[in-house]
Amino acid sequence: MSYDRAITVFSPDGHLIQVEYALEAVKKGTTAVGVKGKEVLVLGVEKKSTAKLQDPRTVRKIVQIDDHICMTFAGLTADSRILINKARFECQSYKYYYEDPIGIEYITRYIAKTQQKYTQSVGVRPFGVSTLIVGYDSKGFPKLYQTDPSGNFSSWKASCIGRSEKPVKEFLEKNYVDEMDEEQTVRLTIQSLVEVVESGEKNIDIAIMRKNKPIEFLGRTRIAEIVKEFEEEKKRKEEED
Amino acid sequence: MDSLVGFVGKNYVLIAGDTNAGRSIMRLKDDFDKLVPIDSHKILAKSGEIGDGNQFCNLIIRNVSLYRIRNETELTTKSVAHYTRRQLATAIRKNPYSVNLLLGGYDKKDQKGSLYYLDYLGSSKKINYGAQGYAALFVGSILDRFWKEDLDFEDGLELMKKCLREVEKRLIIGTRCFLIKMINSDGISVVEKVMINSKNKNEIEEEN
Repeated sequence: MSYDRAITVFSPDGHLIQVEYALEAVKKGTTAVGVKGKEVLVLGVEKKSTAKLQDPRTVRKIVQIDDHICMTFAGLTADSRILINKARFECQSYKYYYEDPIGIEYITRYIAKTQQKYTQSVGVRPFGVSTLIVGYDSKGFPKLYQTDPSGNFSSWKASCIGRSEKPVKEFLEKNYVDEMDEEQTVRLTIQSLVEVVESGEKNIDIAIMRKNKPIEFLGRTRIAEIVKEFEEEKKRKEEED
Repeated sequence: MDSLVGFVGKNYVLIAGDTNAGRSIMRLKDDFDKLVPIDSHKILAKSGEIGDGNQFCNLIIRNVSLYRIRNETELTTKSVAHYTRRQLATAIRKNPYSVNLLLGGYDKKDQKGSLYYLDYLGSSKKINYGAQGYAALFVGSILDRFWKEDLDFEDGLELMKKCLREVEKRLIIGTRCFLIKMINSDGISVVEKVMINSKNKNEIEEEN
């Protein structure tokens, strides 16, 4: 009997095949990277190259959930819309009842809970989305969380989801240092993406989340500058060898 | 027993509310701010049941925020007025909110201020000047006579104080202290907290 049709049930060897298929869908999505610095959080995404006639501004992968929380995702865009909507509603609902802005771990747990619910409900399939959520906790420390279709979530210093997850994660593991300042964090994020994104800086979006400030999207020219610096450094290294 | 007065001036809206909160014959609080900011450029001035006012204003604020986060743009004053009226209208025959409101807002797009009168039955009207509560009985005629379109800020403030003076003079229940807020292109600001003492006839002391 096939254990991967229609609903999420256990296979004989203890796997939830539908959830694993959902993770495969995530691996097909465009790359998203999150890096935590000493007092800053940076999100970087690979944008799918838009068709000639398409308006590129309507394709936004980094979204605001609340004034102080941002997230990005990899996987099925339409599925992510549902999660984002639910998260946004939950943030306002929390503020309605408790008057305080929602905590980053609270909203991550909520999103992860939602994803898990859909792995244990009748007639639905799991979300084909992994998310990276950034914000500052109640003590003012930057936090980066990742959720996946199974409903797992954990906090990371730097993480990557999507199609280039493996090479980018290896790069991050090699080059990440604790307590980076804003400039270093931004550079690390861009560098990790530049290697894997086809057609370079035009298809990279970088967003910086500073404490108590609204999210800032890095301008195209600045990204291009930094990418150029990397390329020149690379050329120099190659010439030395 | 609440008094709210508001009018539209040249690129601003002035709203004033008394700062009393009471129950029956007792004044519970004399520094109660009834002019609640809904977003950076809109104020909902509430009068009526205090609990209902709190709950209702919270509801409007959260839904306006949700719209802003979802759509990455702010609602216009007109839209907020319509939304608020809709909430009041659906509630009146189920679980009524005993609140009467003045909604003042500044829209960057039109570069104009606007004022709306909303009441607990689900009425809504865009007005140039108006009041809620007992104040409406007294300031209506003053505003009818002295309000002009595009009043300067100084003239507007003078007119507002004229209105508040009249409220203090004629309303038998003591409403001495008023909070005046202004909305303009820079957002919401507290203009003054005025304390009116009719013993000094036409003098108004400023309280800080």
